[in-house]
Amino acid sequence: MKKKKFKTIEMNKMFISLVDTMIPESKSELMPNATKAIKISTFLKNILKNIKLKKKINKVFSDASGKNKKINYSTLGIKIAESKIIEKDLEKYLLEAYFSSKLVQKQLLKKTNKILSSKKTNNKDNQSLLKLVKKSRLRYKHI
Amino acid sequence: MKNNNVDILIIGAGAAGAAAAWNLSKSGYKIICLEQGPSLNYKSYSFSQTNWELLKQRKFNINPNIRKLKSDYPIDDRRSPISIANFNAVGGSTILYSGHVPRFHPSDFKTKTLDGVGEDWPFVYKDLEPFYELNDKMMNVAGLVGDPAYPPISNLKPSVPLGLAGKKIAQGFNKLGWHWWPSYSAISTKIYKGKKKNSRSTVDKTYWPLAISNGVKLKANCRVKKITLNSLGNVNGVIYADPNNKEKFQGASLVIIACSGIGTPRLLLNSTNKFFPKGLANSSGLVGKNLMLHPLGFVEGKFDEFLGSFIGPEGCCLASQEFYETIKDEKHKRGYTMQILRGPGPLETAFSARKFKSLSFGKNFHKQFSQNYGKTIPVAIICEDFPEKHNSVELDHNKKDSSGMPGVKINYKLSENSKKMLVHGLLKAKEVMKKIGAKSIISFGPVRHTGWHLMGTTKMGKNRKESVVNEFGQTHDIKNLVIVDSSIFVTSGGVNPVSTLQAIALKITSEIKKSPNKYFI
Repeated sequence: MKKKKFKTIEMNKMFISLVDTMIPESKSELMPNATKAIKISTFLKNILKNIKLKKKINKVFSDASGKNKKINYSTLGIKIAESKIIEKDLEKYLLEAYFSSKLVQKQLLKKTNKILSSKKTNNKDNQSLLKLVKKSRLRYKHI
Repeated sequence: MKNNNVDILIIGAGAAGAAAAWNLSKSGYKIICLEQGPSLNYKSYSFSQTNWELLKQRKFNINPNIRKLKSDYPIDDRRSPISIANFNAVGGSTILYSGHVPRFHPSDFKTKTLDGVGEDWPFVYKDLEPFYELNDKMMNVAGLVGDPAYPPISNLKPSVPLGLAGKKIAQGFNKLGWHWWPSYSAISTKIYKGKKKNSRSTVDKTYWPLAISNGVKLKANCRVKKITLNSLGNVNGVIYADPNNKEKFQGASLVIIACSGIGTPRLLLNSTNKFFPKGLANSSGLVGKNLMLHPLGFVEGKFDEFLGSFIGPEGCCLASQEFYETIKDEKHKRGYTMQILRGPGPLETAFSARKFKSLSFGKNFHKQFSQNYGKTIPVAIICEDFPEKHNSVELDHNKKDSSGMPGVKINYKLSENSKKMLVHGLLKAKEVMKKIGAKSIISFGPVRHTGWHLMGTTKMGKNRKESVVNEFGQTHDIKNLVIVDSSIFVTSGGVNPVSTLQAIALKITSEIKKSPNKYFI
């Protein structure tokens, strides 16, 4: 079967739904989906630099689209994500891009501050913790 | 013809070179420092950048063989279970260090007398104490007075916060009746002299600006390839590759080497001549021998509750030295520090969780990520290492750096004592994790990518047949050749060496100021 060649715009559409299926939005966890955090064109450009991976992606997408002339690229992306067929190949790129994004880091900080403010501790805690060790024997030899 | 000769030439602008340059500045000498790496903008290596975790894997990777920057040199460490970590730039490895700067114990300088292992240093803790104090001040060291593991240490900046993770593990140490103490960290705990709060004190920001304003000339991207001698066998300068890779000569009356436990023997071994066919200042045959690396064990406990363990000082919020010195009836001599590390950032958490199959993509991604993030407490066990001749650095003529200078090969094996100490440390760290209710614990060692602490390869001593330099840092063979970095360490202690190596650099350079005739021809 002749491999289908995808246009950039088609590739983008597929990747948007693919990565958003891998990392969806979570309102309860206050976290954005993948494409809210990363710029898909830059992400795609980065992974397609890997020639081996580029070939594999093209094959996977081509196989998944089959002989359909009318392809719903978003559905195709979801289908590929759910099949996990290129998950291992993409995970490094996706996790790096997602967790290095300013938006994700901002959200993580927001979550962290929220939790920490509910567990507020102060220096008095340190003093009471240190009481025991301060009174303990010396741990070095006098020379 | 213009005479460009200087009085003092320092090779290497890292922790030791910076301290040496500052201490000698304002003493009337014409001083130049040549550094093989670049001068970086602080913002480019700031740990607070959003992509810091990525930079740590690439441009600022601790492994020179991965970074492969022009300033790096090849290090073949396949014959060592521990790979070498360093950074070549103005600031040296402090650019990437964690800023954990504890001192050696007094007993570290007398291991042979006290425990029958290693060797005694030619000076004692008391001799170094004033220089530790000076260095603490210069490096803005934060800590807490009253530590029962040390003789009194004063004039510290407010200590770094323990955080939830630190407090949790401190409770464990208390339950076991073991020592622990907030860490000694070169981290600004308050805003001073325009430095941001919580930033690490790297020497390009502490010693260097002062040294330069006092007249020291610092030339980056200049790699010294050879130290040269005059017809009488005294050092008269160096040959270096300038930023355009052109070989140049720089004359000097006194040369001070500060290139680390790997870089220093490399330079000496490459500086052969008719007087020293086996390498400069190598009549003892010990240049490059006795490499010590601090074998490191790793234990990580995972907890149910959120501990925010990714916040705080990267190196250490607190440390335990309960097992630092020799314990009667144990199978090993001397000991180790248990250092509580900062937990992994988001990217490392995600990678690790994927590896251990506790994070899957899809609808549960965020929930599972939260179950991993900020819930671990990592502990490093830093084991004291002893000098052994077979642990060595040698030139690798098959692999050369960007200026054609040979790389190095590392030969290193863990001693039986280190193996036993490591096992002891792993067990003890697990014990404390269990005491505070860790849900799961992982432990292993020696950890490969931890060869930061490079010591012993141009050992100090009184006997010229058994050492390379004397107690004043001067090579036994050449009066006007001095070494001030951690390669002159006699033993390794069981703590990060940077504070000790900087104190030694200050001590030696103070001696140069006090008794110049001892050093200058």
